[in-house]
Amino acid sequence: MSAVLQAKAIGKSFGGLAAVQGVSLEARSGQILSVIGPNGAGKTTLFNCLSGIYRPDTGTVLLDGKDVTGLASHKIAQAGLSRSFQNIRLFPEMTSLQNVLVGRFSRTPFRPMGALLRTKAWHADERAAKEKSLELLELVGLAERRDDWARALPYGLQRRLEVARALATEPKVLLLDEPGAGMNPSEIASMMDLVAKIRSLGVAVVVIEHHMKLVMEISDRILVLDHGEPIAEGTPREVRDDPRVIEAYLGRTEATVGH
Amino acid sequence: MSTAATLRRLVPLALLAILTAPFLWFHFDTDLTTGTPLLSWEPSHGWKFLKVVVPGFATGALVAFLARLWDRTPRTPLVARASHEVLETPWMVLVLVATLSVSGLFLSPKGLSMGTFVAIYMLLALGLNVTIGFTGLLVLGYSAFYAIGAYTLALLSQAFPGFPVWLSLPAAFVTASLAGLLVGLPCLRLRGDYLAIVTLGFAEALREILRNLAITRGDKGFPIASTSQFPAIGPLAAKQVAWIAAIATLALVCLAVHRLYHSRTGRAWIAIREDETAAAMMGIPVVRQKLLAFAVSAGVGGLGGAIFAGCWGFVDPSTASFEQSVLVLAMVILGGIGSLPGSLLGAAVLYLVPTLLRDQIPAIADYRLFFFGSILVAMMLLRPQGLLGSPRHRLEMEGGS
Ligand SMILES: Nc1ncnc2c1ncn2[C@@H]1O[C@H](COP(=O)(O)OP(=O)(O)OP(=O)(O)O)[C@@H](O)[C@H]1O
Ligand SMILES: [Mg+2]
Repeated sequence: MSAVLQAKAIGKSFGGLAAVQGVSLEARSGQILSVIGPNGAGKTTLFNCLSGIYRPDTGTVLLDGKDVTGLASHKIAQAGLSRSFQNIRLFPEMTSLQNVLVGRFSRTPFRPMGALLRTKAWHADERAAKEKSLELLELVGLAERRDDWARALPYGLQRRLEVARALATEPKVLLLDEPGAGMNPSEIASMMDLVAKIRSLGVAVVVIEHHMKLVMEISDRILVLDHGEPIAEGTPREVRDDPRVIEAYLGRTEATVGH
Repeated sequence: MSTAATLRRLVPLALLAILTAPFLWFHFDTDLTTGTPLLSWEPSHGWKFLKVVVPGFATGALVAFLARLWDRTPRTPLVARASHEVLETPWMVLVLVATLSVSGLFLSPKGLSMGTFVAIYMLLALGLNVTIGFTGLLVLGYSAFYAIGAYTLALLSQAFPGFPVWLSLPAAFVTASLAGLLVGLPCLRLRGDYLAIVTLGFAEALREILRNLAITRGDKGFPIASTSQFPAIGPLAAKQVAWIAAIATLALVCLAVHRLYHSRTGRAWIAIREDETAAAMMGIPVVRQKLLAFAVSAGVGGLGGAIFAGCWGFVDPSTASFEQSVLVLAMVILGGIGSLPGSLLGAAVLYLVPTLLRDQIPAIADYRLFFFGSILVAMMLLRPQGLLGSPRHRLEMEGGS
């Protein structure tokens, strides 16, 4: 099976700083690719290049065989890539349900006249969007909180809501930027269960995560970045035994992971 | 309540109307010389009856209708819920339009024209709220679109003598939205509040153009032929027709804005207001949606301008003044940014209070801008969510988490 997301030799610099340099990756449907690396390694920058928030200086991004390099975020989203953000970016003054409904935007037909006249077709679209959104809230365990304001949700639930909202765009590729950040170990574990569930839906998941034990358990493949450059790529076992990884990453930060 | 049940309730009312009609609308007399009974059309009792009964009945219906809201979703403020419920029920809107139309007919000419101006300012506040409130785009020169609407009617009446106002209204909507697209296109691609500055400059430039072009007749202003103003229809005087047209347009725009707001489009607008980057990541073409919101907003402003021109019969460059923009902005902020009923309330208060005060204290006219400025600052400091606030903004204040 070919990769649904293929990034080749992605590079991005800020001023003189090469935040990402020559990074390639492949994400396959129904698999989890973890991106790990110390703080400032360029993981978020890589996601920003893949999702159209930054235009990469070099390299190409193929989504489902289509070249989406440098396209605007909304075009990339429509082409089937969605993401969550490291610093949660929900729509705070909307309810959980409304947040997820926004994700249905590009999967709902544009019917201005239908909306003004409230035609049958418009009602049917709205109902379908709502049903799908409720399903996703159920999936992430937020069904009970559907009418709560996003900003009033506890932190852990906000992260889950971001995942539901991203899934509402029906992505083929889902990028999750530290979905477990700021959570306690049991919350992280249940978030990783959710990530595994999403994989079983046939989505290609790319996840940035610091919690090494969980990364090793859950990932199909792992990509390790350091100072913007890829230093290893492979199965969890291969990566764990790679001396460069141990030296550049694990050895240096072991004391701070798994807190 | 089913339609059949509603109809059945109307039967006694209809019977009552038929039975009382001879006494309310006709005058019985007997020709003294021949002894034949005479029946003549004499509606004065009827009008008096309607004047009392129609608003009374409508108020009763409204109260009964809104009473149901007390025990529903208690977390949004009552006014917001009430307006939502009314706008979700088109027949209720129709009842309100009918009531207001009829009630207006009993106002003095002065009261009627004040009422029409309230409706016009409500339209403007509603329109401006689409950009500022829903989409989060600051527009400082909204009066430009009001002026474009007014001058569209004026120029059409000049180019095609007798051009009916009913066609000028949609035309004004279209020209103002197109102008909105033109102004918005270059600056909505940029992030930040460029739109505020660009629209401000646009309004000022437009005012200068209106003052200096021969075709717009410069500073002296532009009287509009009476054939292109609101016409008298049957028993209704021209001013009364203008009032009904303003109310009906306002209701239509309220419905349209409400329905857009509660649809995919409205959700996209709010998402853009809340977080542009995240909105784009949800597949929303941010620039296009901003343009759409801005075009709708500008079009509504144009509509307001055309109603003004068609009812006032005279337009001049001051329609595009900065003061006018600030006034409408103050209405939106006073009522509550992002709140539809708030815009209506803000418009009513900020039009009526200075107008009524001006009659008492003529000097107040000189301090208008000062007055609006103080309101803006006071609201920002004391009650940033506005008088009514949108349920969303308001909840943020109350949530306090
Ligand atoms: N917009 C920007 N402008 C300038 N420098 C940036 C920008 N974004 C990121 N950087 C720099 O690029 C480098 C990579 O940052 P990035 O956020 O991608 O790291 P990360 O791997 O996601 O780190 P963390 O684990 O802390 O989230 C850092 O040195 C950062 O300071
Ligand atoms: Mg990061």
